[in-house]
Amino acid sequence: MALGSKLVQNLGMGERMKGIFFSSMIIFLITCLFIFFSIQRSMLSFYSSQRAIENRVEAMIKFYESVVYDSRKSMEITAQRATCSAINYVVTTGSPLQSSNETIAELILQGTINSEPQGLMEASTVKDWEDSIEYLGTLQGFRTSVDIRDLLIEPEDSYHLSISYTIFVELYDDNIKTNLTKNSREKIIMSIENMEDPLYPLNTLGRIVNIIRPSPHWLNYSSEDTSNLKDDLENSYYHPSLYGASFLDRLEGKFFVQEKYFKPNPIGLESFVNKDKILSAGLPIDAYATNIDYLYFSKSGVDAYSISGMPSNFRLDNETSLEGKTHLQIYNVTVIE
Amino acid sequence: MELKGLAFTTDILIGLTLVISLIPLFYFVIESNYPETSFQSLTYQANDLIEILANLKASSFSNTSTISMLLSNKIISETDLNKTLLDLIGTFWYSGNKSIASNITKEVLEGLTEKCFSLQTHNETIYSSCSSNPKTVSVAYRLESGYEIGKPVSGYVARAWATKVRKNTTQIIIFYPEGSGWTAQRLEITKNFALPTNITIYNATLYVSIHFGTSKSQAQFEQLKINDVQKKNDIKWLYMQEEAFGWEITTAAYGVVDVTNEIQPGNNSIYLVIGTPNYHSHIHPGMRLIVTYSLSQELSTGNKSFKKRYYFDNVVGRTGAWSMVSFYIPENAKNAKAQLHLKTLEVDDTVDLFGRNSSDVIIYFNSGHIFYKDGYCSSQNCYPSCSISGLYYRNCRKVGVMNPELFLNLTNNLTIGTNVISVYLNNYGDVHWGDQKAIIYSDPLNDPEGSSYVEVYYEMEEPTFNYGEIDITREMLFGGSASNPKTFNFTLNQSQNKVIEAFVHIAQGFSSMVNASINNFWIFTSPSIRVVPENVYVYPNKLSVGKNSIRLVDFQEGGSISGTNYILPWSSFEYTYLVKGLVGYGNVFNSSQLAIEDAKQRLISQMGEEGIKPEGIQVDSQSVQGLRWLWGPSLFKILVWERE
Repeated sequence: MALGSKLVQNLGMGERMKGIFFSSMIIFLITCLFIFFSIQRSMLSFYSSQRAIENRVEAMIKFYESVVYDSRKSMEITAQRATCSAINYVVTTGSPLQSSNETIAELILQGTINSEPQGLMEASTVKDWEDSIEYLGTLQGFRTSVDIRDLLIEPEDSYHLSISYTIFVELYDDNIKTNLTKNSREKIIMSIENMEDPLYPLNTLGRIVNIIRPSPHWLNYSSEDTSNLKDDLENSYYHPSLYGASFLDRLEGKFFVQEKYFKPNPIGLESFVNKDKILSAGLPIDAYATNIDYLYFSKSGVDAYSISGMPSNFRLDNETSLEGKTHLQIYNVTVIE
Repeated sequence: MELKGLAFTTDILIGLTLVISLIPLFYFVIESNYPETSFQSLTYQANDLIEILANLKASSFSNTSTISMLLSNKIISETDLNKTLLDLIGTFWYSGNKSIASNITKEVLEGLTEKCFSLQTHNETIYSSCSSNPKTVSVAYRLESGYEIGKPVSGYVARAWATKVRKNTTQIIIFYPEGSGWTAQRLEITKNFALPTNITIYNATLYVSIHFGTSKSQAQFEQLKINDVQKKNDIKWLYMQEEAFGWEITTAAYGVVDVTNEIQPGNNSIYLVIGTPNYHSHIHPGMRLIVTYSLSQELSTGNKSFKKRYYFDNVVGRTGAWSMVSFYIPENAKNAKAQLHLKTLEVDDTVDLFGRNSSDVIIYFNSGHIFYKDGYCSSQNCYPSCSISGLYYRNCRKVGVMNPELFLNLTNNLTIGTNVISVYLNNYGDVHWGDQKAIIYSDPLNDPEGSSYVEVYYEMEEPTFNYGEIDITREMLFGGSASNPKTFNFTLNQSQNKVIEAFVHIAQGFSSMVNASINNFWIFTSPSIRVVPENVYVYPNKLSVGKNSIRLVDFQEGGSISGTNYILPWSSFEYTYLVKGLVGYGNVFNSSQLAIEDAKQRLISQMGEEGIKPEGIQVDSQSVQGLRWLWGPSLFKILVWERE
């Protein structure tokens, strides 16, 4: 009984201790839970806000990349139209350009030649594209400024022009007070195939048109079988040339590659003048002159030789063409003595 | 035991606390990290897919069924394989071939991802691999210029040019003021000239401006033969002004005759014989033949250097003969040169009372001072000191007959604009001498080198017209009434904005000296009395599109305006302007044929405004393919989401 009483006594005191302890623990646990939820909440908030900023910055970067990407595409379109406009100007006025690369640059940037607006460049200039991009940037929530400068147009090779430019992009997001200012130097290569060669109309009172189409037979000529050479003559196909005027030279009415466009790799062009076509246009021909276009039109007076298996008014000279070979060698022909 | 229980209880409680505290953390991690990882994966895929479309060439997928089908059916060429996939898809989509664009997208992208994706542009779906609605979707986009709904992506432009044009134009053949000495007898003038041979003449009108006997009893109008056809009785006299100073009665007459049936392509001849018994027979300013014809012209480039010959008419005077040839040097001309070749026949060689060789050949050039004389002159007018018969005849002693031929260099006395050279044989002004005829010889058709002419040479920095341009000449009559001064107002329209040559043809009865101006800019003043040329050169740069005016004033030597020397309404303004015979590249069309047709129509319309009929135009054309438009840019979006 005594034991039981003591036990009861002890148990009463222990129960009290336990109650306090458990109450403390519950308070502790609630505090912990509160702290954890608070931390979680603030972490979520911070993370969300950071993600939002990251997303906007990422969107800015993507937009910038997209603008730079599209600048190349739009430059291809604009440059093609500008080149076409330049040709159009030369062949309709009969006046060669003073500086064809600068004129094409003016056309690309402003759509004009000597400040005269050109129809083909309507709504197709770099300025028009910049305005569109700035508008699209606004739709994306960015104050946008795009500027293309330092346009450089030069021959890349015989059949291509290289157009390089610097694009400056400035994006500003008012919501997150973030600014992206970046520039990059870009370059596109534009083909001149299927465009008109201005040298032909300039030297035939505008009566002969020749389209720049590379010869499908280049370096595949035989002195035994001149069918490829005849096909090149019939169609006035083009061949690379070391000295023959490049496309930019031809826009300037020049017959030879000028120093300002010179490059270590061949950039010039040459084709066989089809003398029969000139005759049928009512123009006189020099039946004894070489058929290489730039030498024929320049009235160079170089010695020219009748070629076996070719029409009687076809002549080739022995001037250097490419790779140290002369025209007689590169076209692999036999001269009629 | 009790402590142990307490310890275990505490331990359990601490453990539970930890577990409870970790539950939200797990919740946090599970709830946030897993979708992020998934979304990131979707984003990577979306970006990769758009990069592939934007950067890989179509040639990389030439083995896919759609692209190889397009190639084999020649819908696309090998060149098109150099386009990026996005470009190729965009080209087909925006050109209306949506199923092709959709198929290419499907064949290219379905092999690259197992997730759901959709390629969209302008809120239209090009292709979607799943129909499910995504809970989480990642979007990547690319701007692509060159596309716009309903607009062609690329097309053809063409230009056209006339290779040969049949044009209606006007040619004016002028008769220089010329005649015989005062109170001279029969005056014969022959004008031989050539028209182009390949023409169809629509109209030929001869304006006759002569000074002969009275309109009544003393009239001596003997011959007007056009290619040997007598036309003198067919003249309709438009104006006659008879003047009398005592017994000197004379008439200035201006008439017109239709000679369309007589004038022919190629060589022509006009023979005129007039006289007056008591005055002075000569041609007045304003006599000219106006021929309107249709001419086939091939397009060519204008010259930069010019050599022109102005042939005298063949003038046979009794006694004395004279002629006043006008020619011009255009503004901006360089290295201008001129020489006179004068071939005269049967000129009486005379000496004066003092035995001095009289000046039987006298030449004035752009001045009131003698430019050349072949003998002695006692005064500025060079009348020989011989006995006087009547009022105007000097009875000089004839010592022979000569046929002087002169080559005179006129270069140092040339002027820009109108130049006038006057040649006098056995006469000057009101005085004549000699006893037989004197001839200024000219037969340019049969003897071009031996005839009398002024040969002019000059160079221009730019050709007057470039290839592709054709020149058209028109004439406008002043109209109105005869008056002095006379102002002619006229309008040039926009298509006539490139005038390369213009003249005023002065038609007068009696005349003294003339002053001409255009738009208040002076262009000519007679250098001395009676130097009124038939035509005066008008500086083209003084003309403008819109309203213009020409003012002519006849004045006396002292400067007063002549009271009865009227400018006649048949004075005219002749102008030659350029019309473009080619058109450049125009709009972009879907086919070469459409572009060429458009170019031809533009050319025909342009030339039609100048009265050139379509059937008269031979056209050649050239098209250029593949010219792209700078539409857009358009937004291409790729959406990627998890399959359900």
